[in-house]
Amino acid sequence: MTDLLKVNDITYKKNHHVILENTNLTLGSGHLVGLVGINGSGKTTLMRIITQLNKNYRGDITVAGETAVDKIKSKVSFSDDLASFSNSTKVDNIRKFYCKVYPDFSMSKFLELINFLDISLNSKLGSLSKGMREKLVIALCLSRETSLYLLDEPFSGVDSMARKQIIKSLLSWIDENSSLIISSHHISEISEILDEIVVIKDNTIIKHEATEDIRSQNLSLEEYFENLYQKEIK
Amino acid sequence: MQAFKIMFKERFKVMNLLLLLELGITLITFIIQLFTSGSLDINKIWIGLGGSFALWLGIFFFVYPIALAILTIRQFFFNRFRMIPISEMKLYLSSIFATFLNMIYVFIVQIIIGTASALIIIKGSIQAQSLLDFVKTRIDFSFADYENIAVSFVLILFAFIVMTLLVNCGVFLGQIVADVLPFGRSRWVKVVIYIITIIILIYISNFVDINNLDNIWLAMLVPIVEAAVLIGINQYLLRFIETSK
Repeated sequence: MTDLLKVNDITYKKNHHVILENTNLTLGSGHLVGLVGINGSGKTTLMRIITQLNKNYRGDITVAGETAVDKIKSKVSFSDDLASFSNSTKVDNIRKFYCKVYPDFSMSKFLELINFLDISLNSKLGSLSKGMREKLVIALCLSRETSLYLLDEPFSGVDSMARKQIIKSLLSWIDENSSLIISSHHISEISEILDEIVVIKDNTIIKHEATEDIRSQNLSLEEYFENLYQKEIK
Repeated sequence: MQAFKIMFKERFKVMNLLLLLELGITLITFIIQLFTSGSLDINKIWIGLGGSFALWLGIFFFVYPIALAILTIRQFFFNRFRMIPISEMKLYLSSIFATFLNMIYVFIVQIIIGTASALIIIKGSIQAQSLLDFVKTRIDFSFADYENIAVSFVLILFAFIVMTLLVNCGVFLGQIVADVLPFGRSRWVKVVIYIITIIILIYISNFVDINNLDNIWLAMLVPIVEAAVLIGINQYLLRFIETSK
């Protein structure tokens, strides 16, 4: 199995504040990975470094064998929160933007996704609720046909019914050779579909385990995560 | 190419909205002037219309380059543009080229508005003579005059382009400095750093004073070289600039 993602000794500081230090991660193709950690642990930063949005890091990132910034961008689909689009922008215009700039954007997949998620193409961004907006972000991210998908807290505003529906369907929207890294506070809900779990603590990745191995210890992913953070919880 | 098209269209839309705003404000000013002056003299009305055009032209002349500079620099801090799978160099050149073309577009429109307002004022100023006769008999431009006017316009355009690139460079340098400083997260600290870097850059760029150059073509070469150097610096700095939105 070839490595899809290699995060090699990444250290990232901002304003003299260490966010990630000597962080390493290797990921194969066709995996669903949960990225967990408490708020401010560096989950989003790690995803932004992989996407090449955070720049001033030390270390190397390789995605599908590519190290050049533009090549990495073509292999990674990140869930952008759409903050740079004005509220008056129609969903259809965002679709057009994605269609134009991403050669791998699948129009049919997007239409299928927004139909499933009950989003209208004519809706304006400002008229969407937080949950609906997050659903649109998920649809846009997964509509690209690429190697690595990064979903950063995709369900924080989505109601539990829709959340369960999306989680159940996630597998069907991703190519079997692609991998998905998902950061979420709802570990118990996504645990069923995860193959691996990556835990960030003390500015670095402290654990990268197969979910099967964790379950074989008679632990749920939530319990496993809490055990790792036990000191801080106390 | 797609990135360029999108950036061009977004700027073009804003420029046209500003042009409509300029025309709207001009007309409103003219109508208010018409009612408050109380004069029905057709020549005074013509002069009033030309004057309204000229007044707002002078103000909006600076609004367009400022708006374009803001649009250009902001884009580099947006995820949606920085995630486009093209190299940073291509992204920067696409953005700057889109800005240049829009600047040329508004500049040409402004020249047309300026010429129209001048002709309207002239039309109002002459009573018995036709406009065509007036232009034929009173204005005797030589080729050199036309050349000087054209060169002046091109130099003004270049000045706006260099200024946009300078501000861009200042914001990029300021952002890089702000990211390193322990207290650089504060918005006010960032603004102060931006202002200081922009002032320093303007001071450095003023070492070459094109007013002292006798050769007009050499005077035009200076801003072109300045622009090329700034584009090189800015596209290098872009690789250290992180998005905020």
